Amino acid sequence: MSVDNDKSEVLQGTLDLLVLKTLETMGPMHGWGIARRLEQVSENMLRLNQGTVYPALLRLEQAGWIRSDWGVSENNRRARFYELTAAGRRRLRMEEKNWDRMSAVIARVLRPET
Amino acid sequence: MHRLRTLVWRIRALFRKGRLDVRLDEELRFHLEMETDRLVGRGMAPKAARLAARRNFGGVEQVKEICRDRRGLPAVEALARDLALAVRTLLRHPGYSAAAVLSLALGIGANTAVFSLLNAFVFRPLPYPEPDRLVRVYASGRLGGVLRSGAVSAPVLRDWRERARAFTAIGAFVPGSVNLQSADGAVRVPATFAEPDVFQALGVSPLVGRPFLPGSTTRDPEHVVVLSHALWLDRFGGSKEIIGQKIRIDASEHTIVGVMPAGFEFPPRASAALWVPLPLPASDSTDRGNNRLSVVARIKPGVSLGLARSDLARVSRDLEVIYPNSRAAWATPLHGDTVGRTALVLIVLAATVGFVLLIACANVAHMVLARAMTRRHEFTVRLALGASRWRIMRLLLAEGFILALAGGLVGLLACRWVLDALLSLPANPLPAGVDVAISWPVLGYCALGSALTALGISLVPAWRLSRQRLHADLAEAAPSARGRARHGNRLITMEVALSVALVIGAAMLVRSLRALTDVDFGFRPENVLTMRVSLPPGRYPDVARLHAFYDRMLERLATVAGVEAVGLNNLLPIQMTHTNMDFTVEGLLNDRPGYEPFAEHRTVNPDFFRAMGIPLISGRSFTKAENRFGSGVIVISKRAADTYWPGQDPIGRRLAYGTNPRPERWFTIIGVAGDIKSAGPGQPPQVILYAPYRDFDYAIQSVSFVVRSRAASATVAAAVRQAVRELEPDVAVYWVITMEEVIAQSTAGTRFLAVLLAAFSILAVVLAIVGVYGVMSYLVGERYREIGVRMAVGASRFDVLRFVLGHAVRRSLIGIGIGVVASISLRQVMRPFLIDIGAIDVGSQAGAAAVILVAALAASALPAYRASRVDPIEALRHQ
Repeated sequence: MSVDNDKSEVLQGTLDLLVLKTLETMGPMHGWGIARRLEQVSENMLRLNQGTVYPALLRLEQAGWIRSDWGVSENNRRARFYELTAAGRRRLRMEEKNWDRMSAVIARVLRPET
Repeated sequence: MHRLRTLVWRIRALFRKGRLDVRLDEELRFHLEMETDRLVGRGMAPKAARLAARRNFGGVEQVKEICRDRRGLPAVEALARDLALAVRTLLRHPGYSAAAVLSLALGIGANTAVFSLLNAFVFRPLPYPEPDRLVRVYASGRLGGVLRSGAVSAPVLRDWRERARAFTAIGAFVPGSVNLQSADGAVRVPATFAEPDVFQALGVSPLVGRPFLPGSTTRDPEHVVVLSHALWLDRFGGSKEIIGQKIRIDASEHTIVGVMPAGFEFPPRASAALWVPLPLPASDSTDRGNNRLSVVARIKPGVSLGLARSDLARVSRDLEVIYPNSRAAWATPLHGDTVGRTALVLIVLAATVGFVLLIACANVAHMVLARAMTRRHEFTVRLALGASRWRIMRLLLAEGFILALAGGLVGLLACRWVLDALLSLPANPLPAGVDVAISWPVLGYCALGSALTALGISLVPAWRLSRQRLHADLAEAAPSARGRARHGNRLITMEVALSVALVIGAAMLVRSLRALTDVDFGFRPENVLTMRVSLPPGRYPDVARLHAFYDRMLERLATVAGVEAVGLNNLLPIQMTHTNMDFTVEGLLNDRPGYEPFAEHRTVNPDFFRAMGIPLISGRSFTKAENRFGSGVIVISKRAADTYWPGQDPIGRRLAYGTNPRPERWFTIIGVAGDIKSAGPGQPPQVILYAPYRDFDYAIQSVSFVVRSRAASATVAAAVRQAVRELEPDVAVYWVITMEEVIAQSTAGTRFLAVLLAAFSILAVVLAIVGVYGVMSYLVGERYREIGVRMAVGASRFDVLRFVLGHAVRRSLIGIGIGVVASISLRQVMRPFLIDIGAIDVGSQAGAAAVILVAALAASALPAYRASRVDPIEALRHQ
């Protein structure tokens, strides 16, 4: 097993947020596309197996935040496309707000400016 | 919210598992192809790209597994899998499974059957609104110093009704039977004579028509009748047009005024076909000692039983002032009063079948364990490969569950069969006419019993197995064999203890039954035919003509071929008893209230003593000439002489009925008759006064005839019936029964229990023998090597035999000890059915202990013999 110490572990729960955000910016997307997008955006800094998006997608779909259907991919293949639901959009807004508040608190604790 | 949605999604997923699997496969395949294409596009060789794509993805199978677990409900799926596996495993061993299911079915079926009896006879609420406010009211007081509760006289009832304030209604009734005229002659049907107040107290309105109106119970009652639902359907096809129609009851026309709804019964748990008004004397208050009425009352809303009782106590105190020595009113809940003795019979039965089920459970638990032990290699491998102990225990629990389920289902079928068998037993003391159905509560009980059984048979093996040590088993070492032996030992002890207790119980009952049937009744019951004759009131309005009819009847019966003597009496000994008349002994000053002399009052003909075979100890019976009004002669029982004229000759002494006798009604004692067990075989002899039937100026409408013949009674029965029919075609002759049958009926409760307990204890012993055999064979198998070693170092075959049998005997002795102690408390419960049995019945206990010890030895004989045949060399080689 290779050891990439400069890659970060994905925080538990943040993967859901990342997937929801990806679907919001990219529109309907299949699993591979979501995984690739996450790799690109994080510039390979996240230590993330592509496969882990599938349990996350299942979890989000069960909760009713995303829905899925068969569609045709960019290279004309049958693929499962995921898209955000209204409930998912609300959830994303809430999660983003939480995240901002949390990171602000953590930033302030780590670099006190006064 | 989303949690709920997730749950719904998962439950739906259970049913589209296959489709979801296909979808996931396709999705992942697409992913890998896309990634491979991307890498190939970046210049990788296709083969390397495919590997790299898999690497980037992570574990494909792991992801699938995670998704599958997250989908659906893994616990439910695992349970279904365990159950399916258990069914397959059990079906692979049909003999083993059938044996287990059959023993459980016997246990569960018997328990369910007894429960459905309890439900029908005891638990089921009485069919009246707010039944817990209904009470029976008794006149209770000291009779000869003994506290007794009993029937009430009409004047006393009237006083209670006028003075008591805690009740909405107090009504009197007398259960009995009437002649109902039908197309094919008169039939005797159960009927209840009831005051209008009874219906008011019960609070049930008729389905059609009305109940009795107040005032229909005078000396000359309105001739009306209320029908039961069953009789209405049976005789009148459920027609609503019948109100106002007339039917002939006891040879007089009765107008139908109402029909009670289905399910209505009164007295409770009995099957009266109709209700007719109870004739009560209008106003005379002289007859306060004529106690013949049963009383039911409804307590006012908001009044507790305690309050109602103190209200009755106040009334009784007031009455005591006016009528010294009167008995106090005592209320007891109608439900408890109704079910009392039946409940006792059924509780003894319930305990018995509970024991049987416990033994069956123990057997099956041991079978499950023994088989689990043969599979312990399989389990050890599973454990070593990472299965959790819980997973293994679940397998056993599933097997237990399936066995109990099958046992419960078969048991439910067996239950119906057991019920039919129980209810058709000839000596069945359960009240007739109660519908015993397999209802929801019964099904619930069966399910509960099966569930407990499932736990019972699988928890012990599961617990034993979960303590299994991996290394110990892989090494097949001795310590675990020892632990298993301990379990088997406990099992033997328990089974032996339970069956000893049951056998002792059965033995005590059988001994009681013998004591009941071998008893000297004080009369000769052989070749005596008895019958009861009821004359329709109104048919013989004046007493003289009634007595003339009885005379004719006696004369006619005496002419039947083979008849030696014919007797007449108002109440046949054993069949009917407890009339409790107060009387006064001349010259005996009673200064202790509550200790007034009391006796059973019997009106008889001069030949009665000869017909019954009761010896006259001193003096004589009355002559025919003395059988007339005002003759003033009386015969007393020996018990009466001993009690009230101790150490004196009672002949020539005088007594009178009631506590304030009329001076002209003194009776002179002319004879002392031998004591008879008139209250039943287990009861002490009663104080009885025998007076000539013509010496009373009131009409006794029902009497019993006693016909002593030279040949067996059955042969004269037809001739006797024929004679009565010739004499008076309208009269109903019923309860034509030999005196020996009367005695048998009186012991029905004990006989019923004895038969059942004997049957169940035989079942228990058989199950215990199977159990001990199973445990011993298993232990011998477990100790195969140890036995081989013992023989190798010099033990003889005889030593081995002794070693195995000694083991069984030691365990059995412990069990017998526990069982004997347990039987002492069992005896407490059964005491009302036991006659002449001391606190510790050494005979029954020793007998039962011996039987069980022999049974345990027999069960161990084959395993012990097999052990003694062990070839040491073979055994030492055995792994």
